[in-house]
Amino acid sequence: MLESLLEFVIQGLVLGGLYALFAVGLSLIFGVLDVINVAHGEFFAIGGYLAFAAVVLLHLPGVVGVLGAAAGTFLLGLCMYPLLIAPLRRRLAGRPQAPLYLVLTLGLSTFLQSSLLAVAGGDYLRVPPQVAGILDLDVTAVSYQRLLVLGAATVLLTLLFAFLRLHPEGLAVRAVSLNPEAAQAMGINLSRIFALTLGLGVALAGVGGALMAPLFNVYPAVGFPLTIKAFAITILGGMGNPVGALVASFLVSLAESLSVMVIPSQWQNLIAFAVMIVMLLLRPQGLLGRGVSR
Amino acid sequence: MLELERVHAGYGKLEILQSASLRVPDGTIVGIIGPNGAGKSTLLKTAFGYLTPFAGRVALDARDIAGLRPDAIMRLGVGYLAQAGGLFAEMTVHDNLVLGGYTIPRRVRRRAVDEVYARFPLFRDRRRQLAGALSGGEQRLLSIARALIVRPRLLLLDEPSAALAPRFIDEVYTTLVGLNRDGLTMLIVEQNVEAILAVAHRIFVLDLGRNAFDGTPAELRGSDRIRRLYLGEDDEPAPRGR
Repeated sequence: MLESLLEFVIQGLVLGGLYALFAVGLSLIFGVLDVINVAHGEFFAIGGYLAFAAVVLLHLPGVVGVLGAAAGTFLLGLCMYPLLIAPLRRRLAGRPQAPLYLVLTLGLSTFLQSSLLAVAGGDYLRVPPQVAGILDLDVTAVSYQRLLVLGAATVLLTLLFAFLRLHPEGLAVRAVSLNPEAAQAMGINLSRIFALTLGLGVALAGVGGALMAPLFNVYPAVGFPLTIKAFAITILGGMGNPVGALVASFLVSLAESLSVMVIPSQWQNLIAFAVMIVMLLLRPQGLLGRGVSR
Repeated sequence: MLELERVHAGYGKLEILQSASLRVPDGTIVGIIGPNGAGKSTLLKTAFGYLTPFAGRVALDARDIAGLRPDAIMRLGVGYLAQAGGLFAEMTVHDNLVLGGYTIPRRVRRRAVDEVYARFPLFRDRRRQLAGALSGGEQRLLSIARALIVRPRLLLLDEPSAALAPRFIDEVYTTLVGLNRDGLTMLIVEQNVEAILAVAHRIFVLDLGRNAFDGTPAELRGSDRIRRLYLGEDDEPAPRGR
């Protein structure tokens, strides 16, 4: 019993690391830009494909694949604001924008998935692990690749939160999320911060995709189920609140993992969405409310 | 320094300012008063680039700045204080001051923040507190201190006395007068007519988006029509008893 519990807790923590990489970025983007990025999962897939290209096609070390995925998806995120969001924002000045951003990013999601299908085909691609081997903990065993996912998520998210709290650019991101007009009076260029936020947010998903590629395989729609799961997580944590998304990621992942001990595994996926529905009905602002500043 | 010439501006298709003109000479305090909805805040927002004028000219030191973004105008040496101060209430006092120096190099910023702490020791003691936890008057002083970190040449203030207790209004205006003596030019929109008349070198009265008066506070006090219409003063003595 204890062995099973420990095993499920470790699985839950690893899954939580992945959810956190994904959901914190999604939440950050929503908090700053008021955009629900439905295409977030496609950046996760692109991260996986970039890792595949680096490691399998170019025979580069795994770490290069992860760094390449981070850089590639960061650049794509940077371009997303001036090419897609800003033109729509200009045309809709003064009118409600959220529904159209949703449609825009849904269109981008389908466009990217179709593009990946056209370029790389629909096959499941295997990427060798960045680190091989298994750690034997007596009560359970866990692959180093899974530990890498958890370790990388811990390091990256610590760096992200330190950046938001300590660096002037990070403070500017928080300021824009709180009061864009007042932020402009500080000399902050909103377009620059919007682009930076999109870059950071989708790069987290891209790194997640590269790290999970050896565990999940890579195919065009690999990130879409995660997007849907991340919506539930961000609502649980409080829309636009990255700290809330972090907490909720681990709550959901641990609940999913441990639930297997008491309910059939086919019910596992329902947990996050059941919690999301209950949360929307009882506490729509989520566990920690809204705000990148928190 | 700042000049608005026959400016038309507003929100969407709604035109609030209708050919409003105004000059703010170097080193002066210029006040804008007028009834609610006259376009006072709209004028300030147009001068700072939050709104792009439909027509007319906005110039800083004879350079046309209409259409520039607020962050670009800020980098030209113009500070802006929103009606409620525009503080980031959920961030600390220190983070607010750091953001005030966002556009300047780190070393200069650190020195400027230290200068604020030297001038307002209260803020040094409470640097880790959330700005929203300060009292209304302290918040207003913090927003002024934050705007000064980049040493602006011109400060635009939207109702600096709004929602403040009288003793804080005095403190805020004493600070503003001191800054003006040090050479800072100011354009102040104010509902508190007595407060602005006491400090301004020149007063503009806006009504329905147009200039209704342009002169010194003494000239304004000498104009019966303006006093009656905009200061709520009556020439005829109020009836006593019944």
